[in-house]
Amino acid sequence: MNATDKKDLTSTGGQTAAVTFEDGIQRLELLVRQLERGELTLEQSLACFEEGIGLVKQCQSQLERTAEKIQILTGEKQEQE
Amino acid sequence: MLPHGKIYSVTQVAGLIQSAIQRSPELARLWVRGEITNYKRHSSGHLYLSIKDSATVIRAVMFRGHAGKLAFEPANGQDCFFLGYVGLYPKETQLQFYVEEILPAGVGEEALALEALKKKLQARGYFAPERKRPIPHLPLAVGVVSSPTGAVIQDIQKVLWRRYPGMPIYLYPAAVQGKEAVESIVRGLSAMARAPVDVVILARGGGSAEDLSAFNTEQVADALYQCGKPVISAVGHETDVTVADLVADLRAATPSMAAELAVPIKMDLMRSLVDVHQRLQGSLLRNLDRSSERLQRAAGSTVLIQPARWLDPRREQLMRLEEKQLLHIQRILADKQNRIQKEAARLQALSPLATLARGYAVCRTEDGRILVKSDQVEIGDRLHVRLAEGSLQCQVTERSTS
Repeated sequence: MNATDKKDLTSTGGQTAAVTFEDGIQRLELLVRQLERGELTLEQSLACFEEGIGLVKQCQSQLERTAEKIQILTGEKQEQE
Repeated sequence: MLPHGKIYSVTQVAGLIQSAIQRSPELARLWVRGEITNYKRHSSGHLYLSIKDSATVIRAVMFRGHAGKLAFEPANGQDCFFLGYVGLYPKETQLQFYVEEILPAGVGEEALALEALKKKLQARGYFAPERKRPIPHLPLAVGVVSSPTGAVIQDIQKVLWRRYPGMPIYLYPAAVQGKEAVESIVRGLSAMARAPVDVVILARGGGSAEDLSAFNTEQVADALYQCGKPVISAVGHETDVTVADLVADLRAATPSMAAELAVPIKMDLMRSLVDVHQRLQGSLLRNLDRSSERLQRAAGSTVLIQPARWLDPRREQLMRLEEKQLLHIQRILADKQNRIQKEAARLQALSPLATLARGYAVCRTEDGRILVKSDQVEIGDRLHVRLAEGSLQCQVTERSTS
């Protein structure tokens, strides 16, 4: 677990490209576990936290996407697109 | 003309016919194909009907014991296979077909064709679990291919928005039964492949719920297989699995169930996000606390508060060391001096100056040669005489050889 945690921490660290909610939450859990173990240096802790906050915002924005009504797809329009 | 020979009663005639029929093995058990007419279900549970083709009609009866096992309700005009035997209703000398089983001809053929289609698609790997696309945990939008009218789309919308308020829904209004259905469903699925949705619900909706034929076609199976997006089917009954259900990536028993499978509960996601956010902040704060504690512990140590206290002993130590070193060097120097003096004394002892000090003198000619014999000089030569202290210039006035 430890090894994979660390591997993940370096493999996607700092990248903030669009992530799915599920991926975001999973990475957040990972970051929190790292922080909670308390073995990181102050600088690493801050980097973890910063990435985590970014992910929280991204996940939040995904939850905020809403639609008021059902969109109707008509076959014809779609064919032309 | 008078009657002659044997005279038969009506009953006897009926008996003769009866036994003639019974002698025929063909009439004892056979399948008949024909159309149902004059259909009537009697209150006793027996079914009365006639079976006809374009030229002929035969009366038929199906007794309660067999009729109770029928899986469908027969109707006039239905093309069916009938299993039974030919017998005589003696009271009216009426020939009848005694039915034991009825299979609708169309359905029977369809069932065979469906089995063949399923085998073919299975062989192509359409039903393989490993090719099923995973359903996303949180879709960006849900596509629905179903009838725009009726309860189905309403049920789906209700469940989707109860679980996930505001989840974008894209509906492709499809005909799900009738002649248009197959083409309509295929178009709907390919529209979904291009729509901004990442999970699709294919639901049968509205109308008389029995017609599943569109969902049992190869075209719909192909469209599902090629959709490129995960499809949840809510088409068949629990007892009646359609080809569409088998090819779909996930099968739901009802449209509402499909909606439940399509989206998570938004409140749960928000709770887990808030939770992880709090843990993130909490753990950072704890880390900061730990760090500042360490800093304070470090700052509280003697070195930083009163550096002199830490420095003094070290300085002292250094001084002691310096002193020691100095002594050492002095000793070495003294040693060397001692040795130099001794050497000097020894040199002194060997020096001719010491001999001179005892009263001897050194005589040299003018050109510097030391005199050891008197015949080295002539009368009148000048000599240089070195004494222990000072020197003399002399002239030879006399000389002897002894």
